[in-house]
Amino acid sequence: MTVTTHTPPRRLGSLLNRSVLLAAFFVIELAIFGFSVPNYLSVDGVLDTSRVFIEAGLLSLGMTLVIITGGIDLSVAALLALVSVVIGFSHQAGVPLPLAMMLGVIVGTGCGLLNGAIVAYLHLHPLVVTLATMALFRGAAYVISNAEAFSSYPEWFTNIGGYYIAGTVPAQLPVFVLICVVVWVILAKTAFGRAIYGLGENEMAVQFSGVNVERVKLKVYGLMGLLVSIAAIIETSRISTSRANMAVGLELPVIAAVVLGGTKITGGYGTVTGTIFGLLILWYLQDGLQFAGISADWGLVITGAFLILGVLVNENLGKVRD
Amino acid sequence: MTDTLKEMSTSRREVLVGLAVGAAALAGGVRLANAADRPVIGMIPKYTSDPYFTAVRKGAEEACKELNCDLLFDGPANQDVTAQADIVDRMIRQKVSAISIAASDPSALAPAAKRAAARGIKVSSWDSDLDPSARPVFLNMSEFSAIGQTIADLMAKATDGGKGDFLLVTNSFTSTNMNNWRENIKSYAKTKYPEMIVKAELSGDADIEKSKNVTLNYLRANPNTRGVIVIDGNAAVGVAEAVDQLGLAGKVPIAGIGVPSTIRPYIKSGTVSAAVLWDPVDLGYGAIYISKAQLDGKLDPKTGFVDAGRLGKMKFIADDVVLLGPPTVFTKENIDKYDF
Repeated sequence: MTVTTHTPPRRLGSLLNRSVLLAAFFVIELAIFGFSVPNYLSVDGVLDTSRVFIEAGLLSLGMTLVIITGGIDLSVAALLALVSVVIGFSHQAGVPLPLAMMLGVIVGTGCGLLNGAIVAYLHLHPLVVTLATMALFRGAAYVISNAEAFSSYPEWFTNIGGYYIAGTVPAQLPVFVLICVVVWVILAKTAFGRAIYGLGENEMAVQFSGVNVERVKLKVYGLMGLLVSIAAIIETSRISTSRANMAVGLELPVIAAVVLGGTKITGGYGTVTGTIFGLLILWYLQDGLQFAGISADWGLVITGAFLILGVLVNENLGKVRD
Repeated sequence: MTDTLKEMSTSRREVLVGLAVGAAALAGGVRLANAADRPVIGMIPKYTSDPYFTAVRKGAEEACKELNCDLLFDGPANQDVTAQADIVDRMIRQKVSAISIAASDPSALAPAAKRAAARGIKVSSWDSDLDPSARPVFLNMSEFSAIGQTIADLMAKATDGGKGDFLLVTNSFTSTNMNNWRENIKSYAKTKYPEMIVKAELSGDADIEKSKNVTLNYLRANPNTRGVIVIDGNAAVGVAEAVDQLGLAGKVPIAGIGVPSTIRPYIKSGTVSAAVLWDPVDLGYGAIYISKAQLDGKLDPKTGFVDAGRLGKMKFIADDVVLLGPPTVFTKENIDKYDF
């Protein structure tokens, strides 16, 4: 009987291969669209698509960490709407916009910490907890906004999500890249990151090694909340509206991207690089198909198909290892 | 890279090959855009999951065939403001010549519409307007006042003068057309039927199930409701089902907007006394003619009208608003004539 050990270098090694494969798939995907769909491949166009997936991308980064710990967060999309509504409607009530934005971030991070606290200290399963908070946050958004929309945002605010640097690069892209690097460093290079992997593999072992498991979980879900808040600001700025029914169902492609990128839903495995490529593959696929005239209705079909595909490949990967 | 491929398990390799083949097949089956001399008009409905917008598409296709243009019809499956804005941005990249849109939210879609206009794309709206600063022309199906008055009149007729508390069900509190109709119904009722009180306004979010549930809950809690006014096609079906379920058909009349294909059984059974609409096929048809007029540089409010093929001349009722025509009332007698 062989005993499998999961040492970081080996894990990173196998996933580096997967990232290479994903990167190759992405390049092939772009090439296919570029050759068969006129007008598709242009620097402007490819960069412009990033405006659409950056919000999901921020959520995917946080979701990667959450899933690696063996948890899940279904409330992210609802929280995004809630943060957006908090910003819009507190501003409508007279709060100066910069302050309203800070209020939104506090609410977003606070709700993330709430998820973390319930999961960590009450020892309830994250699936059930975040399913409940999904309803809670979405409901709160409807109550605060009274099902109405707020759209009177000044130009400096809409520039966050609408401005193009040098006419081509969306303003939120460098911000996203920076956050990707930060999250990558956290996960790959810090003790906190190692604890995250540890929690997913063997929580008891991590606990016995002296790490405060509850604190780690609290921080992971709290970080998720912070990322959701940033995504909320960007999306609200991009469409210059706050509505309670924004981002409905967004948690699905987010999870699909994370799983496609190699993160195992059972925890312990995953990388930021993989998630980013999963994100790119998924969103550019939908983008290219819609550009070619295949209607937007297929978006959900594609998300579901790739989620199943991602899980399948993950499982086969596991079988090979043993 | 080849080492990686060799190390791979058979199943993993199979999956990858399958992916590559699938992607290639998809790419092979993809439509290639036509040559640049045929203008492409991008039409964006509020959402595609409603036979109303399918009818609009039919009219648009008819007009495009007559005008030698290509139609690119795309919209989110359900009410989704962000997705609509994304579709506008994508159409800009697809280099369409004109965009004709029914906006789910007038201000949320405005920045995207302005971006399109900045790239030389002709923008126009229909059914549900954009912020006026974001488009030079809006095709109104019927004057808001005409629809509002017709609905109020129908409700009054069905309830012997319209005295009492009424429930109003809409599909959103942000759509321009919904808000205008609500205000018109109420202000007209105030002058003509002072005892017609709109006691509550609820939204069914353009979902039949939700419309049915909000109506069920309201009618159970407010049994004295005299009638239900509906201003959305999907809501009308939900409300009719709710009234039928409670056994109140005929006792609590329903009047308002209705799409013949979905409201037909309820009109025939009497649950819905009368429904108002305009022909969405004509709407799609007219919207394309407006886009073509913009492309040809022939759109001029000073002439007073827009040439619209088989619809004749559509009048400008304001410098930036064109009227499609008078509303159509569907009753038991005439509903079988319409098939959308």
